[in-house]
Amino acid sequence: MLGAPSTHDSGAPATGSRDPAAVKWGLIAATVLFLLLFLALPLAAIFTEALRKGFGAYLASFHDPAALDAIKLTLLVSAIAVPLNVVFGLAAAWAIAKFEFVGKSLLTTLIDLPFAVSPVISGLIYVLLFGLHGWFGSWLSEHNFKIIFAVPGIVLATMFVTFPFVARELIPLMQEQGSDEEQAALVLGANGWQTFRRVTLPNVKWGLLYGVILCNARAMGEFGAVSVVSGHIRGLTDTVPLHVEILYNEYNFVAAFAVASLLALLALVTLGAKTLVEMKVRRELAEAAALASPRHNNEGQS
Amino acid sequence: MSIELRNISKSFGQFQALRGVNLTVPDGQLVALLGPSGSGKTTLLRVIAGLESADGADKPEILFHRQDVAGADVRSRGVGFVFQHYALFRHMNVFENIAFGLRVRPRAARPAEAQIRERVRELLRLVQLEGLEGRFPSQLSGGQRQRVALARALAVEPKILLLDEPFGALDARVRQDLRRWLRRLHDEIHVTSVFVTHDQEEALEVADRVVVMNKGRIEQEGTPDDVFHNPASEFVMNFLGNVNLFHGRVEEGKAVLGSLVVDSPDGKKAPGANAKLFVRPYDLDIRLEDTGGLLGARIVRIQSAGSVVKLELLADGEKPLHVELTHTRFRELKIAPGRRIFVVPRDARVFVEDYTI
Amino acid sequence: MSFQFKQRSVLPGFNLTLGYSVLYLSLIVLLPLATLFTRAASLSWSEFWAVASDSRAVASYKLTLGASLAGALANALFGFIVAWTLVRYSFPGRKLFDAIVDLPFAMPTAVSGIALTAIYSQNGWIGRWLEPLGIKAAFSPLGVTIALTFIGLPFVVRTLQPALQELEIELEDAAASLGANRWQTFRRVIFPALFPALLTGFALAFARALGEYGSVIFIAGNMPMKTEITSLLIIVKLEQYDYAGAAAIAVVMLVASFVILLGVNLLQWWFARRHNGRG
Repeated sequence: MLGAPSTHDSGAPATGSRDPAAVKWGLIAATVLFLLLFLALPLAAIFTEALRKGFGAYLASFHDPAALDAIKLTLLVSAIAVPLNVVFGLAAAWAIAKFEFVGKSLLTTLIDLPFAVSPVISGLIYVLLFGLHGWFGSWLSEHNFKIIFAVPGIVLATMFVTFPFVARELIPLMQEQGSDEEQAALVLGANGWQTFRRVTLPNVKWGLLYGVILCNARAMGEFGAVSVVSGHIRGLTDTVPLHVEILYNEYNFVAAFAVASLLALLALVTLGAKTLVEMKVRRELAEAAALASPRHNNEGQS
Repeated sequence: MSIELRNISKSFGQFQALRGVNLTVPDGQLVALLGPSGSGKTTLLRVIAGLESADGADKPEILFHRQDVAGADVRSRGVGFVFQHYALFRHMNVFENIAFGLRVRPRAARPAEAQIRERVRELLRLVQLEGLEGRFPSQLSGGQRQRVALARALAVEPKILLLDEPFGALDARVRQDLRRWLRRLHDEIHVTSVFVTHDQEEALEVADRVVVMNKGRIEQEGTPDDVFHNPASEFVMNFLGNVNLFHGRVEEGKAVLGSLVVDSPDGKKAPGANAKLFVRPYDLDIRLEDTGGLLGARIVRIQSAGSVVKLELLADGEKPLHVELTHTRFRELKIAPGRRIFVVPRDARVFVEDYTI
Repeated sequence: MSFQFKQRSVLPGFNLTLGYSVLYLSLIVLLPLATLFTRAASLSWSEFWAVASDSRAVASYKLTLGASLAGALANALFGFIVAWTLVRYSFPGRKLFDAIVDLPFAMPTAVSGIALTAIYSQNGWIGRWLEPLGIKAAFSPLGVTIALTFIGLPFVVRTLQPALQELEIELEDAAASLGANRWQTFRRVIFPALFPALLTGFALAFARALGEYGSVIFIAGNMPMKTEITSLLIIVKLEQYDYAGAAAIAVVMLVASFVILLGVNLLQWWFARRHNGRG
């Protein structure tokens, strides 16, 4: 399904190439040129445009109170959405990875569903529910609750688009690790919570962190879904990506790119952290394999 | 602490792993559950531990020291369990693995830190792993992991120790050493222990009593001598070592197998029935001349490198036979491949086919 | 054999964790998504058809589908080259280039959008070279395609890489030992083995492009009937408080991307069956 490209092994090339040198270097040149022109150039453009009028103008962009409000709101939104999705991810992974029950694969598929839904639709569904003409619209306005064009709507839309990240990292990892260690802990007298906290959690900590990093990056950077529910009220419902759009549409390019450069930095940090943590996750998986704890499959075990 | 099991059945979906098992394990003994894969031995062990629960129509009973624990969950049964692949906590070092069971006790029952340290040191000494307490499971050899798993299980002072294929994942040399060591350890600590194995040699060498299992049932139970020398069924005979099989009929209380005639106490009950004769390779002797009632054969291959001399024969009717001779006997006979000889069983088990099945 | 919802297990916490997961999933995902369909269903069939087949909507479908398809095809080609190079060859900076592949995924879409616009507009770093050639990149369907290629690249590369790594080198050696030249080996042995992964990557990139919004709207120009994508049309309808119309077009879009993903799953199932010898 759509979403985070899966963890892969990017170790050294397995063998020397069997391709002719001309082909090899031709393909390397093509790859490098393509990645530079197509991916690195836009990144460079952001910082160039942001610094077009000098470093002073760049810094001045952040003195704008609206920019500061946008940063605060973005931090607030991900501070709510990410922990909620972490709790969900852990609960779902525990139920799916450690137990056999009817409808398990359906549940796993449904968890990935938000990745298949366009960002605009992800926002739209909450407008249909809570907007002025939505299902609960009139009830909400009678009771003076505001969800759409307010912070709760932004949080909900963000939760929706970042919903699968943690769960989809944890489920395969916990399935791979099986439940032998948990059984051992129970035999030794640990209760359920002790087992989870002392045995399960430490075993999946890097996978969890990996999911959190991806979840957080998306939560802070989400544009389409948030744009639909926000209403773009400066200082109130304006997140950082939305603020970039406002500045850009006002032809305030330096400020737009300056604020965008913050998000670009976040993306670079995310990439760096992701690369590091990916290695740790691979080690977690390799150790699970090396300590050979095949799951008790309950079929004719003897 | 003794273990008594009654009416233990267990099925996984369509697969019936245990079919009404009854078993008593006397206090302080080391018992082996022996059987091929799928015989239900691991399931039985997990039922004793409380990792699986018994099902079936009759009310299952599990008594530890005459107390019924069938309803008790795994945490409160107070058993030590050594998992087949050890299930060591991979993010904890050896010390923390062993200390785990003590640390997760409720605050009131938890020993002080100094006591925990003392207990772990003692166990490390017992399993001969002093100095390795800082290592992580991934930094240990298979045999070392095995002993950490054992120490971890012993840390909580279990009344019963259960081991699932304790030597299964080790290579042959380490297996040998560890099983002697386990026997000595048991003689030292005397905790009632049950271990699962599919290796008959291991079961016969280590255990006080052997329980042979097949298809979810107990085939035979007894001392190693008992099950080895007086196998109760074809299955046990077959499972406990190599065996030569002859087919024949029961006539006048004797089993007649071609030119061979062997006494059969069971034969009187079922004249005319089909009989199967099982002879261990070392219970076949070789004669150079036919003195009557013997089976003719030709020597195909001789392998004399080893503690015994192994012969491959082709008996009349193209039937392959395996014979083991002492080196002394082999030298007396002066035989070579291709030579025609005659075979006589010194000792044999006859099983008359049971028509009730 | 009685029906069992769950196999017995000694581990605790099943009811709590499953209950919480299902509740949270229902509240955050399933219930809101269901509203989309009920709202669209509030239109009669002819009303729905009128909204969904309105000429402005159809123009947006054509643009969105066409540009997504072109982007996904471009990604299949370039993504294959990139994945091949990153897995098979070692060269200075390989790890860095490998990490940068995820950039379109890590970068907030609005940021990608304004950055691409800056580069491809007529005085941008690349746009100024295209301008004399008569190629208008930004504010044209080509611009939309560029943006959709940008955001889809990681999907193709990251799907192909593990498949390439798992490809046994012995297979290629076997082909070579049987007398195949390098090109024959590639065409008859390597490519067929990688095709399912390539197809999956292509479909993921395609489906992602269909729904993309942030990175496109800056570079598209958003002229109705010409460079207006379907996602934007939904927002336009919403801003006119035409909830039912927005829901109708959203349903068309959602169904289209589900059909693509379903199609890929079926194809994969078919490939798997063919390779595992109908089992």
